[in-house]
Amino acid sequence: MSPTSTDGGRFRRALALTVAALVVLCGVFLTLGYLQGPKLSSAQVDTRGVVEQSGQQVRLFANQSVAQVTPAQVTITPDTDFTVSTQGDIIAVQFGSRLHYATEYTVTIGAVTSVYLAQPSTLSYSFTTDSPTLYYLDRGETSDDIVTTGLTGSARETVYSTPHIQDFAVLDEFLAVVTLNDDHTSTLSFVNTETSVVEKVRLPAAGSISGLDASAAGNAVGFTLTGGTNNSTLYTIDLTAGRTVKPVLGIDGKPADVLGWQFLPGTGTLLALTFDRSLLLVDPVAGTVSPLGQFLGLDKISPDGLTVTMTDSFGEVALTLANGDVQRLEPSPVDGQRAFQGATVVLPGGDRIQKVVVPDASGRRFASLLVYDDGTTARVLYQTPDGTGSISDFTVSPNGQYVAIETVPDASAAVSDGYFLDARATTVTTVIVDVSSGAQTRSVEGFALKW
Amino acid sequence: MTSRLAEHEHVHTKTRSPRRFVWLGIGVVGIAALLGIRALLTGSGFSLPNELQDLLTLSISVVIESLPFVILGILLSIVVQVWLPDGILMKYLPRNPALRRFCISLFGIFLPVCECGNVPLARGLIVGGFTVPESMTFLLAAPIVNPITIITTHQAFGFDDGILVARLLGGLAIANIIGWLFSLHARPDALLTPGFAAECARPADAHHHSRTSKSVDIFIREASVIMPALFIGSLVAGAIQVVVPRDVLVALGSNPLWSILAMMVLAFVIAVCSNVDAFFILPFANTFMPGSIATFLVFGPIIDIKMLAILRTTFTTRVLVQLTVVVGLLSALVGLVVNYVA
Repeated sequence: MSPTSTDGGRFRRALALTVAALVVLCGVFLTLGYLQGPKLSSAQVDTRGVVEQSGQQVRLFANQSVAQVTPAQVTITPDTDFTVSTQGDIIAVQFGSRLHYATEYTVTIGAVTSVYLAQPSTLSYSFTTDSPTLYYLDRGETSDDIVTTGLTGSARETVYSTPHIQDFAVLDEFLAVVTLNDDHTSTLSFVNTETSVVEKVRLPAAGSISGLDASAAGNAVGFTLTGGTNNSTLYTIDLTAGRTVKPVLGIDGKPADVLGWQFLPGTGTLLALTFDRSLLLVDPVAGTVSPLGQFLGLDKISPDGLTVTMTDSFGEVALTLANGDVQRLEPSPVDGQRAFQGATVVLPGGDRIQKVVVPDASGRRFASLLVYDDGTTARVLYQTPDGTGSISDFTVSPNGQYVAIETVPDASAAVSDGYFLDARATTVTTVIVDVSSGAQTRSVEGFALKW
Repeated sequence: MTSRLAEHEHVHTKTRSPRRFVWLGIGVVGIAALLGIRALLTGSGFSLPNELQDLLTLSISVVIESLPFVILGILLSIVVQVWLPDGILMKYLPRNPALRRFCISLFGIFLPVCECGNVPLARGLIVGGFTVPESMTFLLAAPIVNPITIITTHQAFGFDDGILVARLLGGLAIANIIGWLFSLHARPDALLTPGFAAECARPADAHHHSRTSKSVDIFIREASVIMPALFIGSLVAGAIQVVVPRDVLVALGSNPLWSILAMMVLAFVIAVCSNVDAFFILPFANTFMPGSIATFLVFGPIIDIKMLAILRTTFTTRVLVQLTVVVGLLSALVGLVVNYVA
């Protein structure tokens, strides 16, 4: 055999061996791939969004298109309601309600198969939800502070400090801050939380501001103004369209003078109760107004924005916004004692958190309590020490997990801070309570806590 | 390589022969005609049948994305052959053949040229003294390891499912395995077409031309070879895309084997440039398994209709068949491994 033919044979043999080896290796990995079933490539979830809004999703991306997944295949711990849908290689698990703060959730999907092969596998993904940043107002001797803190621990940070802060609201990039002037008028300012630049808002007229509130998206703010021709006239500022202060128009097309108002959670629309006792659903951007009935007072809106508690001549009622249904709310007895109902928040599912007053054993003194009422029994969430304090207000966290309770520990010894609007006792304290357990997780010296 | 090729019969092919100008004319006129027809149709109110319109659009898209790189490749080829000092590239390469090929396979990092542009450059390397397997190693690796390809692949996929890593490592592995395999061939010059072998065999100082004149000669020579191949390859690629419904390929996307085969067929047919193929295939990522995407990104830059047409200017049909089989199997293996590991 000549050298050339030997070398030529060497190439041919190497080529044949290479091809054979590659065929075998392809066969091995193909078999392994068939036996493996679908795998989880990646997952997406907005850990902040899932605690702020219902209907959020965790999306699991498989490494191949998978057969339709049924709810029976899905397990979520801790338990929460959900729906599931499948498209291509994406399995989307949509949560029916807001998830708990700072909690590790595990989504496990069993018996997942590809659209081609019956080989099943289990996909599992865990994530931890965000803990909220809480804002509150701490009034001091010479200056007032807007402070941020967490659900636990004692860390706090002052984000803005100035004298005579009446109220504030948290926006996407700003704080809306109302301060009191010596002439008994209010000033509204936007404070950039990054740069600390303060931008004063030019009001339609000098006057006093009340009922400051911000939309859930953090791009609109509203308030009522009294002064000049304004008599508790409702105004909004759409921050996406500049700093123009616009009146909210009522059904008659004129600026609405209101007894109370609030943005609906998760939307840019608002509820307003006008002086003629008409409850209106208003979209300030679209300019639409829908009447919802006649009531004496506007109380609190449920965290999901579907139900609002109103007062009529006979007490508290729950108004379902979608269909206008009205249900009278009767407080359940507390430890066998009859309770007198105060402000109430209806939770998703119909249970409610409400402020009640109950007489003590002597029947001569009354204690202020916050209770969780499932319609038949009432469980005490919070009462002041020795029953001597008062509960002035409370706000339920957007996911319904916690309630922040504004309280004055000893009402009889309370001293006012002297503010001519939205005055508070100097000892005002906000207590945060876990709704499910009633455990107190945190208390801060201050009020107007924003979730 | 030059010395080995010098054993060939000395063929005095005139670079500026009428035949070359004819081929150059076919290439240039053909490509200009594609673009011209499109321009004339736009706004004229006259429309071609849908299939013909698709053929025109798809063919032009291949030409438009390839042509700048072909020109750049020819210019780089001229630099290597005429303007770089003799043996400068050889001087710094290791003597060990495997190490030497590995270093050559990394040349592409410094050359932002896609696969079509690499052919004239690879031809230039052979003429400049590289062995055929070394040139093949460069040719196969360069379109994958070039910086633009790396950036666009990262933009499209990030580090998801190891697709980017699989593409880079797979491309380097395939290039070096092919280089090793063909280095075992007894007569590397027999891998080349007779015409190109003759070009390589021509002594460098045969006509004592100036560098500028040589550069013009090489440009005409390479353009006359590559341009018609690009024109014909883009036409065939466009035609097959019109004939083969893409839905057929997509329907196979979730099967471990069929998805890989479908992607290889898609890469072969689409003939999209390696610098932009990651964006082309991104919409398929939800339907196809990640391994099949990796296979597409490894196989496509090396073997497709247009590339085979262009490679045929340099290598024999037998070599191209062998190359296609081995590269196909290696690409499939890369995909299967990614599917198993990712």
